[in-house]
Amino acid sequence: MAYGLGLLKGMWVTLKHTFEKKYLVVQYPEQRPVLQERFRGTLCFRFENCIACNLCVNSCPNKVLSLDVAKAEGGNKRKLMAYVIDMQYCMYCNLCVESCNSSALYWNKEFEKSTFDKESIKIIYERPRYMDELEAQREAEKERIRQEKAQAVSAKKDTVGESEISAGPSVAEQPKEILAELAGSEENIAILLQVLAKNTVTHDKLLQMIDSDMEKAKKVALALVRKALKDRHEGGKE
Amino acid sequence: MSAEKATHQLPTDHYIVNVGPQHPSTHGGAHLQTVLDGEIIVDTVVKLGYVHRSVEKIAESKTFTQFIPYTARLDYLSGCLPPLAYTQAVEKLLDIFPTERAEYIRIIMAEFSRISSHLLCIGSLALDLGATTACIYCVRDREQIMDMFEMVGGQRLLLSFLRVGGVSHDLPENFYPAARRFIKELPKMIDEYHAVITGNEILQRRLKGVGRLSTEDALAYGVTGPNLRASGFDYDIRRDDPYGIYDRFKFEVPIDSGGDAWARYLVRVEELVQSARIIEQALDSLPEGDICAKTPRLLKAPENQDVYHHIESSKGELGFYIVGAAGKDKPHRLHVRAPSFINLQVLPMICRGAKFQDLITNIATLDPVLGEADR
Amino acid sequence: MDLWFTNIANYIVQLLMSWGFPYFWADLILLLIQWMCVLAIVVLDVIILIWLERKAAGFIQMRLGPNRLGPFGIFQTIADAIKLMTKEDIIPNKVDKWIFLTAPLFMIFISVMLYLVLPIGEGLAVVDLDVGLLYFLSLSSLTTICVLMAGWGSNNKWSLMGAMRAVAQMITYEVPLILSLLGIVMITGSLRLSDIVAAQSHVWLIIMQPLALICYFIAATAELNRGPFDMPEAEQELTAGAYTEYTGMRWALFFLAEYTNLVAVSALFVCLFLGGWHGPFLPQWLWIPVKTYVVICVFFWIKWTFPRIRMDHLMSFSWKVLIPLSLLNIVLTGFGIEIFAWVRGL
Repeated sequence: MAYGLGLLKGMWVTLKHTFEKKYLVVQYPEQRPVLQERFRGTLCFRFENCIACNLCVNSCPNKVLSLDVAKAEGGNKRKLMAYVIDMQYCMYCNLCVESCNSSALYWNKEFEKSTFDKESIKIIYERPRYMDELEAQREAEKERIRQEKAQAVSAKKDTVGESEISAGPSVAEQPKEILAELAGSEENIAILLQVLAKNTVTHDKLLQMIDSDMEKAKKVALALVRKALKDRHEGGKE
Repeated sequence: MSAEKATHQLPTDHYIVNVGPQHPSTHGGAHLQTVLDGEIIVDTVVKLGYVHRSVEKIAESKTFTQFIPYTARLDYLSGCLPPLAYTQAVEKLLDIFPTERAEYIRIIMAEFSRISSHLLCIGSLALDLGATTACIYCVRDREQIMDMFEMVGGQRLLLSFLRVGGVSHDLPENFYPAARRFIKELPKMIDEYHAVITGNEILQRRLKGVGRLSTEDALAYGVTGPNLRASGFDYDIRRDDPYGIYDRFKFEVPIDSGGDAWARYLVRVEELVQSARIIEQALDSLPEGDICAKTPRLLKAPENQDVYHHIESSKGELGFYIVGAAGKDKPHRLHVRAPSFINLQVLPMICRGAKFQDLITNIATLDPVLGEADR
Repeated sequence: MDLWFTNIANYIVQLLMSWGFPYFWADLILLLIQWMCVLAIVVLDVIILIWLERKAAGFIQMRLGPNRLGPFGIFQTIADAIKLMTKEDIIPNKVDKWIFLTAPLFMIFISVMLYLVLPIGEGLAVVDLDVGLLYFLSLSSLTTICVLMAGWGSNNKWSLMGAMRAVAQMITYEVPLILSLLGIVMITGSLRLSDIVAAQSHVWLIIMQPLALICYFIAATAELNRGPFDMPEAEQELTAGAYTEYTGMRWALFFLAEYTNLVAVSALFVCLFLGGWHGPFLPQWLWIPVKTYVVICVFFWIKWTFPRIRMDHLMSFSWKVLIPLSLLNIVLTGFGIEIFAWVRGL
């Protein structure tokens, strides 16, 4: 009699599992679940890293993130005042973390996020007090590096005679044809060299571009000249 | 209630019960208005829209990348499959080619998603028929896949892991042993399902001959996926119109000519084995390399163009129809061909004249996900 | 040790008579005390059983079951009972009020009455009726009326469907249930339960009546609305069927009655097939609970393994398989008795 054999087989399986001392459940509050390394718990924010570029806000599909930006007094510099993560709308899609260039966003493994009201689920990062100091320090550091570089360049110029062919490359030492191709007229070349002397970083970049991609270098050089002209024009007005 | 009055001595009447939207066995928010004559179903009307989130409209206001997490919320039980269909459709539109390694990772994740979806389908079928324990065993094994998903993408269910041009993360080191172990243990798991579910005579009697769907009807209604193959029509997009790199793998397409709930169940069990085969081959030939192609930060459609891309989802043919507008980073219009929605339309037909308990069996074996049906 | 309880009863009667009560009144007071004992046993059993079922289901499904309240979660049922008692007793507007309200009360009353004839030990039945088996079977089928009352009174289509299923199931399964027990009555020649148990002092009837055992077990599962036959409740289809509209304590009474029935039917099963109080080592009043719990565990085991059977399959199974089988059993038993008598006569 085949009928009923399948039933008994099933009963045998359940019986085996009954006395198997293997449980699928985690006794939750006491026993914590094992979370994988990439587990996405809560979105966290490193205030120090943020450059207020808004990329994360634009990448978010659900408008979870928002920046509160103020213009610093006496300059155009954007100053981040607060960063708000409205976790209730978050889809944990990781797009913001991927978009961030300065690794200001990351996930931790905190998954117990229930709150008593809707407002308190928002995570608000206020501007910490040390940020002003930190930014000032960074600014000073940048300034110092810039000056050091400028000094090094001028020192190099001093040591290396103008008649000699320089060992270190510079835009000014490029052949006339290339310079002409870059900026066009003599006047523009002069302006370009002026701008580059002021800003060593741009100078180095442009030099690289000349080697690798002439078209791009041309565009950049033109833009630089145009900007310098504009600045000069505006300065003249004042 | 119908107003007709029976003329004979003992007046009887049809009555309507509303199965759902709050009913444990409708797999979400389906509302089946069922006209019953005692225990026999006279007619049933499928009313949808309780989980409607206007995903297709949302797509019009999101960039191509931003919409990926929303697609995972269509068929929320098969993790990577809807995002796969969507990203491949976008790649078709923008002429982007994913890297070799990304293609393999996608296949592995897609097939794991299919296994997890089928396991849940089998489990919930057992649950709907009253065998709670069998359901727990299926969920137990699906849990391993969920853990693997968490390893890879940090999320267990709604995995937003695929990107246009590739995937977001590489497979972690601990993924390979876990995947291999699952593949190795799968035959043992299936043996257990056979012992608890398939071999059970009560269950066999409840499935065999129930909800018979003929090949002609299935084709006429546009039924796809395991339900169509269970009706004896040999059609699998993975083989017949290969997308991604499916043409490189050897697998069989299980077919059953029964057309009843029993055939639909068996086809799904057999597909578990075939998916495992594909994963094994993909793991063996997984190449090194980049996981994502170089794509511009903002994806823009090059010209006014529309694409349709379909994949074999765990529920059937899942298609994304995208109309792109030139120079815009958002789709002009997007439509989802949702297999659950279309498969569900045969329910009234196959339920007519059956017992009330067969209604539950039929829903469970058609395996609709209401998130996808309502969109 | 075997006669503890009989001694206590005798002592109580003697004590009351020495205080000047006539024998009739003393016996009546003893009966009342016995009633109280039965009630206490029922409540205690149900508390343990609900816990046991949840625990068993947990282990079968590789979970732990209740494990928070008390050692191994043993007080979980008590906490649940307190919760159910303090819940609001919702009476929907359009119910048939009296039928709706009294259905659970009748149900629990009938279930407790089943215990009166069960012999827990030798001479340890509250009332040892000479038609005990008949009394038990007829009373246990009455619970179906209460389910029908609940389903009809609730004025809910789901409930009505559940109730109708319960009635159809009862009518179908009452027949094989009684037919399968006829063999036992033929062998022992008595409907008195203590006589049936006493007849098994050497050989348990499980050996003489294996076919009847299977038929009775399946029919009893259906009669109890348990396991694969829980049509009237059918969580996944009818959403608790007949009990959909009940809340709080009224719902708990149904639950209580169901487990009470379970114990009673299992105890009857033990008395009929597993030798009742007969057994080595343990005192006789302990054997019946032990065997009953084993039988109950088998009920649990079946319930948590099998899917629910379909309504029409259930009917056809009874009419086409169980009834012929139990009729065959009667014929075989008849032949067996004749052959046995003939062999003895040689």
